[in-house]
Amino acid sequence: MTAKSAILIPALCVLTAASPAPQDGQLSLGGTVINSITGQPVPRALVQILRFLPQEPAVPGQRPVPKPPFVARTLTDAGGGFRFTGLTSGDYSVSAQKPQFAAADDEGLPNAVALTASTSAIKLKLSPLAVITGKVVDQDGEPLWAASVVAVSTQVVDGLRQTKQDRTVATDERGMYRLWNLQPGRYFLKAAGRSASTYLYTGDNTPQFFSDQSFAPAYHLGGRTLDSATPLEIRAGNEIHADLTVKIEPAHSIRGALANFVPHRAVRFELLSDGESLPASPVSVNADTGRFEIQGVIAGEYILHATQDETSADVAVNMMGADLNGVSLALVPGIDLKVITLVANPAADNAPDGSAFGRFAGTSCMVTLHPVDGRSSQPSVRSRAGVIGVTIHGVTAGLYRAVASCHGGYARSIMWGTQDLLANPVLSVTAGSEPEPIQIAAVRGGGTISGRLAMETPEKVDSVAVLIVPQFAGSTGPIEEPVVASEKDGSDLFFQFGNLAPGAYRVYAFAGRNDLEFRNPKFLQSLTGGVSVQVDDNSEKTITLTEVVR
Amino acid sequence: MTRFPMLTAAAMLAAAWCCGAADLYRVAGVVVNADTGAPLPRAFVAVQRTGTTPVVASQTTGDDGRFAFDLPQGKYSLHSGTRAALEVYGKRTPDNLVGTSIITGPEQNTAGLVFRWFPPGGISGKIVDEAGEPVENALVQLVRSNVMAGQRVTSTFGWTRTDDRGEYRFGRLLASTYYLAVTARPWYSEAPAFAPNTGAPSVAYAPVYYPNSLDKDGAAPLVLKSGEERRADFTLHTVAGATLKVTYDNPQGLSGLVGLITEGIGDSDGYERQENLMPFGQTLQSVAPGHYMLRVKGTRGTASVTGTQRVEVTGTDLEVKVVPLPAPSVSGTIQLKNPGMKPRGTIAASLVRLDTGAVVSTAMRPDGAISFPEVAPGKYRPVVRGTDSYFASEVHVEGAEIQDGVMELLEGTSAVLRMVASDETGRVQGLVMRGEQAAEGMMVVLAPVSENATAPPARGFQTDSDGSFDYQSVPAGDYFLFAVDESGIEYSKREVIRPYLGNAKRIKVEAHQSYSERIVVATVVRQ
Repeated sequence: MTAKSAILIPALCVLTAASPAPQDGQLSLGGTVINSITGQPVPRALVQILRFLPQEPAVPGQRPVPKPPFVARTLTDAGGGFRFTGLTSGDYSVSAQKPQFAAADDEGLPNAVALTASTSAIKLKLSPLAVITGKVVDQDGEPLWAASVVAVSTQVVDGLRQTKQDRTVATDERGMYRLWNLQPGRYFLKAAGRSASTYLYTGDNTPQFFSDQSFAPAYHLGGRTLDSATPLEIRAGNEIHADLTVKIEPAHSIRGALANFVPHRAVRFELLSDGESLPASPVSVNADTGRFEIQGVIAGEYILHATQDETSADVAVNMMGADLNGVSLALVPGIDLKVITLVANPAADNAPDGSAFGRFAGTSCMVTLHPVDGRSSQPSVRSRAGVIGVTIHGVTAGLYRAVASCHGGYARSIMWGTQDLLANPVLSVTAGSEPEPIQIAAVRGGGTISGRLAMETPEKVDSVAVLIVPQFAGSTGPIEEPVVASEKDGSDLFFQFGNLAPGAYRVYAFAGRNDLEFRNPKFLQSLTGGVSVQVDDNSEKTITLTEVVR
Repeated sequence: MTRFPMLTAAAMLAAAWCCGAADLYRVAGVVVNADTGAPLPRAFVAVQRTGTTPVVASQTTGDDGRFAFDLPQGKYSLHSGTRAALEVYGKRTPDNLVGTSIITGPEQNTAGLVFRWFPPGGISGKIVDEAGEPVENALVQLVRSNVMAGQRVTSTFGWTRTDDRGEYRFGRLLASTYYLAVTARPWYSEAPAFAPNTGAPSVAYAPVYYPNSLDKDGAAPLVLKSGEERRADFTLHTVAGATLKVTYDNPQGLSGLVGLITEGIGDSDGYERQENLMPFGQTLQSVAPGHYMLRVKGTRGTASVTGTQRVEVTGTDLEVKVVPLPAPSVSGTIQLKNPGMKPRGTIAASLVRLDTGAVVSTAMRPDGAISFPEVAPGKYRPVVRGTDSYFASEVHVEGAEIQDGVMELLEGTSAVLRMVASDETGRVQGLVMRGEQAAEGMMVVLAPVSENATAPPARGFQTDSDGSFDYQSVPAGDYFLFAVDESGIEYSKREVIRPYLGNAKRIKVEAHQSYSERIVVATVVRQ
């Protein structure tokens, strides 16, 4: 093929023909890219070197023009080797990349090389990403087509465990699925519902998907909820085989109508059950009228949640082995929730909400609402810090846990209408309501706990955290803070908690943990040891922690 | 020829009441693999009344593939197969979508049906680069060529992307004629996010077509047989790429997608790539030489916009400006020719896209208003559809070109469409005979005598289990009627049906009249 050879360009040649070196240089920079797990060289990895160039001396009266950095790239050879030539001395960033690999160091930052003499000893590591693959079958071992397979990871935010649907794929007609390019970590794997869409149709005939059967969510190594499941520990380069078995059950339809429906615009449906979000599918929606039919719903109690643009609707449905007709859902915008902070003893020059001329120099509080009913459509929302009348806009219906934090003081009470949010922090937001504001009564000042860690074995500073747990009712809950190293030699680790409500606290130190579920009562009950401290207003208590929980 | 006035809805209802609606008739048979003749174990069988969607009965067969239902007198569609591959009863060939309805009633023999199920197959393959390394995220286009509604259509059937192994697969494919095209970008041609471009000449992958041809003219069909699993591997080759700098007219508030579209196989579009639109311009790197259409689809503020610009890429860098204009919109009215006739169901206006057959529809509001707020630019045939026997007897368009019933919607067009919905239709039904026997599964063609572009399109009907056919809502006029034993006949092409017209039956259909015909299967051998 002559035409082909004429247009073929050796890739290596193209890539190294980068912009010329800043000055005539004779240095070379070379090395090897290796697989961090196997130690084997990685051929055809892209290596890039980058050097920022000194700016031209500034001409008086003119702005200095930044010079573009010097960049060169090459692909490694069959032995993973690379070499850049004609370089001048200086500081280079050297990095490697390749599909299905991640940079091996934690931050993904390029390696810094101070080039003063030619070198061929640079080692760049690439860490292979992981794969989970397998098959979904029913109770008779028959492969399941178009089942959604979800990789779920959990993370602890604000002391609350939150789940994240990292990746969703669908099985093919052989029941096979494949998730690739997974970062190492812990994943829960579940099969949940049919992978299908919401179909907008016109006319009198609802599209039929023959969905007279479906299955309850099923976790790999578990039951139908996350609590029952064991996560898969995925390490770099793993290819894990994980089969899932689901139980096929009869399924029925939910039929109804959407009020306030905007014709011919997409709608999303979600079914919530036991804190699990299920894709409601397949769904057909009449594009002109908003009449809908959700097929393939198995028996159970659900919250049916629909969203269209900025509006949403919720309704409780109970499927009892038959079609459910006449379900009515009114799409409404999310509600606005006001947060008012009143400071009992503001500083003399502060406004009543603790702010000084609009700046947060005084006492201020904020509220974060974390959804707790498993829906995937509403993220956590946070108010701004404490000016009177800050508003959390567009909160959709659902259950939320309110978490408050204050600066320059502490919250003495948080009320939502008649609900005491310090005693019961879960808000039930209903659509279309005009809710009472959240009222925070704050007190300027508070006590302080400070101290140091005296440990037998040294710890990496960034992996140690201190948790203080109030031992009295009506608090805003435990607080976690990282430790800081002393400036002298970094061997002493210090901590400080300010603006604490007066009362008794227990203080714990943790190493190597970033998953402290300190708003989970079970976790708090599991704690042993710790140091007791009594905090008084406007006073500081100093302690030394000798015990570290790992 | 028998001719009688059409029954009114009330009279038909009365007829249904009078004759023992409680009588049930057996619909039974066996689901078999059409290739091997073996029963299909655990087959799912679902029954619908023809023309409606609710499932009136369903069951799963045992290992013997046998099913049995007892159904009231009526006309039914049967679906069966595996859960992943349901098909309609009575398909004559795997890639033909038309089935045969089951007619139940006294003297109908529906207890010995053989449901021939065509097992689906798959096409999979691996895509590698010149070094033999797998190419992840390559875009694979599957194009199918088959006869739909009497017309051969060669259009995109599916898209998929390769996984980490460079593997792709299309499953659940019925035997048919397929084509494949692959586009991708060399992963190493993309600059890492933290560094500017090196200024090095860019490399691109040339598109590749089955069977691994770099030339579209070298694309060949992959003829997939029933139940066959085929491999189609591809090797991508680098060519000198070009960088396209794209800017947008009036960019404020612009968002959406920008696609580089190539001329695809048959009637399909080929996608070189599609990216999120950056309102203040973007750089498309590593574009292989070729003819492209740069297409913008998105919104400016809340209004939909579209824009297209032809681009010839020869290997040198280019700057292209796209002018996004409001997406074409169509509004107007449907007027009933006979206002005294009260519609029983929804009347809908539809725009049928000429090249792909894609349909956009909207329901007529009670005041007759219709509105398509945003339509993709293209050529469309406006039609009236709905549950009743309505058709568009008049079509008037302002603000857009219309010729032979086809209107062209360009960017920025805001057209007014006025249609008259006429119920001046008749009904043509009857039996197809082969010797003394009524023949099931024959293709009956009803074609207008007029070859005018505005004449109603030719229609096909595959005869029901009793050999009957039934055309409802036939616009009044002169027609040819004939039957052939060929379900895939391209009856929309005059040259294909012309050999049959000499012996075809001629019928003059008048409004609100019903005609009953008995015709024999044509034996004309086409030249």
